[in-house]
Amino acid sequence: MAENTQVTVPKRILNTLLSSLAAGVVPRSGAPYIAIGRKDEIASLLDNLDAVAAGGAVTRFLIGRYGSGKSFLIQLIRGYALERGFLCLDADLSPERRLTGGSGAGLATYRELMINMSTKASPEGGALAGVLSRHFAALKTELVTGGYSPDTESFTEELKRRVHITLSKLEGDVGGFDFARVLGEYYAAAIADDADKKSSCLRWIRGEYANKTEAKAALGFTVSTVIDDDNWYNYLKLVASLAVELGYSGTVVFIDECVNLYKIPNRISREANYEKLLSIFNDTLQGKAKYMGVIFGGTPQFLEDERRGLFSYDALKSRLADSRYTSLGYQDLSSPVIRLRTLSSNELLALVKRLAKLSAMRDGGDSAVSDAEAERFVSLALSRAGASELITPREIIRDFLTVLNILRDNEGASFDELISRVGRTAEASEQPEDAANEPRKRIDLFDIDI
Amino acid sequence: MSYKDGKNERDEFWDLDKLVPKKAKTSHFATRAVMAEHSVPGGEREMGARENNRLTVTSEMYSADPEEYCPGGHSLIKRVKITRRQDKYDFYGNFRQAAIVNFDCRADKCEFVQYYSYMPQYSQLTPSQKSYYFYWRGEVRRGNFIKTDYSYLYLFVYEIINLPDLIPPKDGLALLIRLWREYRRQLPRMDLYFSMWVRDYCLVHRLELPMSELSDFIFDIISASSFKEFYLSYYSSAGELGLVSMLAYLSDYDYRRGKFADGNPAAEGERRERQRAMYRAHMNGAMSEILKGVVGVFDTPAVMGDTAVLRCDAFPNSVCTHTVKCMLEIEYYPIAEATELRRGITAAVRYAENRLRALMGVKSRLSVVGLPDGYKAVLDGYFDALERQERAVRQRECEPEYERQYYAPKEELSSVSADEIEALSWDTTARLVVEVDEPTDGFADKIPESKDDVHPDNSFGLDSECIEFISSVLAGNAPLGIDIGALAERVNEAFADGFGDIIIDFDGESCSVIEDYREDVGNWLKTHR
Repeated sequence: MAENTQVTVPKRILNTLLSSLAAGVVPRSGAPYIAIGRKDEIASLLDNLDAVAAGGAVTRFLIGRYGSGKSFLIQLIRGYALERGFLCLDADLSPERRLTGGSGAGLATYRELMINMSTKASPEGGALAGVLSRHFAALKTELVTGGYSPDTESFTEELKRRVHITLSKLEGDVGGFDFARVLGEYYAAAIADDADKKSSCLRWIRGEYANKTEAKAALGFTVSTVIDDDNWYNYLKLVASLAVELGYSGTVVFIDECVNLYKIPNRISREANYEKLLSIFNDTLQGKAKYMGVIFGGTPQFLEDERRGLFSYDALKSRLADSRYTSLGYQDLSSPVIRLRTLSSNELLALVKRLAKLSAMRDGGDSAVSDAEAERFVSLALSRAGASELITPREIIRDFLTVLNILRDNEGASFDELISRVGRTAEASEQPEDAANEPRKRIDLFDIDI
Repeated sequence: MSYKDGKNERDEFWDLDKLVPKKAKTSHFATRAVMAEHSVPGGEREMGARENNRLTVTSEMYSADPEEYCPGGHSLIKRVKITRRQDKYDFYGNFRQAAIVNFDCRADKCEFVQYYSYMPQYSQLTPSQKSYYFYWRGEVRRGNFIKTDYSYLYLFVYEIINLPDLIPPKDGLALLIRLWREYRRQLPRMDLYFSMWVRDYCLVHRLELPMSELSDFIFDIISASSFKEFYLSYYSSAGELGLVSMLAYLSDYDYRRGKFADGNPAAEGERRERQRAMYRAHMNGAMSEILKGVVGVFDTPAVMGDTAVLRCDAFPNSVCTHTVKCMLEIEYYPIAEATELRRGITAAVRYAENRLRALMGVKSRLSVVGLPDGYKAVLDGYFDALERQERAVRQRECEPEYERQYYAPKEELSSVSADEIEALSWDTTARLVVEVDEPTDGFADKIPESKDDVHPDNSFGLDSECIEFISSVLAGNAPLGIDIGALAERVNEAFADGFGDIIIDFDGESCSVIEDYREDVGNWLKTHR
């Protein structure tokens, strides 16, 4: 690894990274450049990816308070997985998207996962068509290399045969026959240059047909099932199997905001979701799923609340609770649960210093703030009332980048004056509007309205 | 005694009410009451003296050649004029002679002997009293404050006052302060006299009052003092108690006697104790924020308004020889009479209590009238921050046990530790980021001089079809007859591997070169087509 001063970050990634952070959102790219701390947790997750690439399967739970960096860690691992040739699917649960639900909440999650399918070449999502196109183009290239002439019938026949060889490997799994059938039709449509047919096949794979009749009308052939709330997980496993056949290292599924399961008011509905989660967990640990990793992100209540969290479901509690040895204060990183504590003061300071360096890299000059100024900034942020409980890295990052941007754009601006003003602005934003608009003034002796 | 029509027909002879002396009502908070009216025997009120001067005694016997000075850093006192008394007859002249003679006298340890005198002097002491006095004085000089009573104490004070040549004023002031601190609990009435004598001693000898040594009973001093502005000027040196005293002086509402000063009666045990402590801490804290802003303007006398003048004899009610006796004329800012200020501060105290009551869960509120906007903004800023803190504390208290393991350990902020963490984190970054062979900011920064110099590695492993595709996309011409999705994927994979980022944005139907890299792609194509 080059000396850190010589590390360069591609321009677009750097711009996107800093823009996302300034806006207070988790960056989709460039996250490794601000990966401060969490060394052991990251190492554990990277080891899991190696296991997935070797044909294994894993389920992990990233548990942390709001603002502790769960989503950031997910994006970090996602970026790494993409770089290493994994297929990544991610979705955030919500009241409308769960693991299962009467009104298709589970299917909604599956659809979100498929829409957000990403690869190295399509890191922003929507990679499903590209994945299939790439495979199709690779097959054609293979044939050309093998001496087949592209415009001949033998070329077409051989192409179909090779597609069939690939897809037939999926037929043995649950739902695999229909899955392979639809994919076969997709490739046939690609050969025939039938864009409509291709689109219909993709829609079926994405679970966008409500019933078989609708699917038949669109596809032009009969399918025995459509992807629905009950069977979507089976098709997720098929996608994972397909990814390997298409040359990817494996499939990693990220499901964040699992606190929405905790928030389901109806106990039966909530337990049905936990049942689904248990089946995913068991599949991965019992070898029924291959080349697949599933990472859930949630809050401590989601995991440990004995009335409504995962621990309220005995089967999950027995699998996920700490053993009596870990309760001694040690962390077991091979456990399915990774607990993310909040960043310490010095980790926050390290993060701020890193941001200063990245910002300088983007602007092409020296850092706009000194080490002492960075320390004063963090100290001021942490000295605010309630900071130890309420402050998150997001707030500190956003505020600090604001300061850096102002210093860059205003020659006469002074860091010390800004941080005190930023501190007051942050506090004023929590006050009623009329008080926030009034500048604090020195009170004169007879400062009274008569 | 006769009654007529139910009315008492007594004549005025029997009306004793007029004969009974009436005690002036005093309040620790209402500062207008005069604690004591002093006059020098034979002195007269100066004609035309301001009616609101509380001590207005002068004498035609005072003559010219006064000393005048402006006390530095004394925010409420503008000017002091000292006029030495030029009297033919020195009423207590013998006292000074006796004090000089007895200055070095000592006595062995002996039993306490009571001594009472309205104006203690050596000539009044019996032999045993004298022995005890010298013994006691010797102990006090050594820092042992043994039993005494008022008369011995005052006798010693008169020595200090009348012997500035033998007891340097700085030492004299230190002694006075020590005596005051050590004996005030035993002899509570000394606050009244010491507040005057120490004040005059400082003014006459131009000494700075060491308020930090009086801070723990500043409140009582101000209550007892007749000229409060002298001590109030030093409130900032008296820490929190000084602020409380200033607050008590300026406010008509005593928050310490408020209904909920002891916490919310509905709360119990530890919670109530916490509320009690919170109440005291945050009433003082909030008001100190107000007072800092208010009293800060004392630095700019122009804002203070008109001054008042106090004329009085120095060291009243003491044995004072004419070499020391003088008249003081003190020009000061009478904040005691700033009614609007008092109204504002009172409103602020009540508003602050209302905010605290809200925090304690008390629904009742005090009425607040005439609260200045500036004060309200300061108080809101203070209590909003406190509310956030309390919310966080409550959140933590209500949190289940399992939440504790998600907090970071508390640690001191250290730039050195942060630098170590940041340096180590580059290892994590290295593990997460695919290394490119030649990390560059722009992939076209090494433009060879001729096409013959093009290194095959710079083409990122792309064939001519892909390069043509990139060129078409850059030009905005969608190539026909090919699977652009697959081509985009190939190009992006190659650049992601070789450069670290993709360059083509494919939305499922069309392609475009990512804006950030358009120029770089153009330059790159020049050497690779």
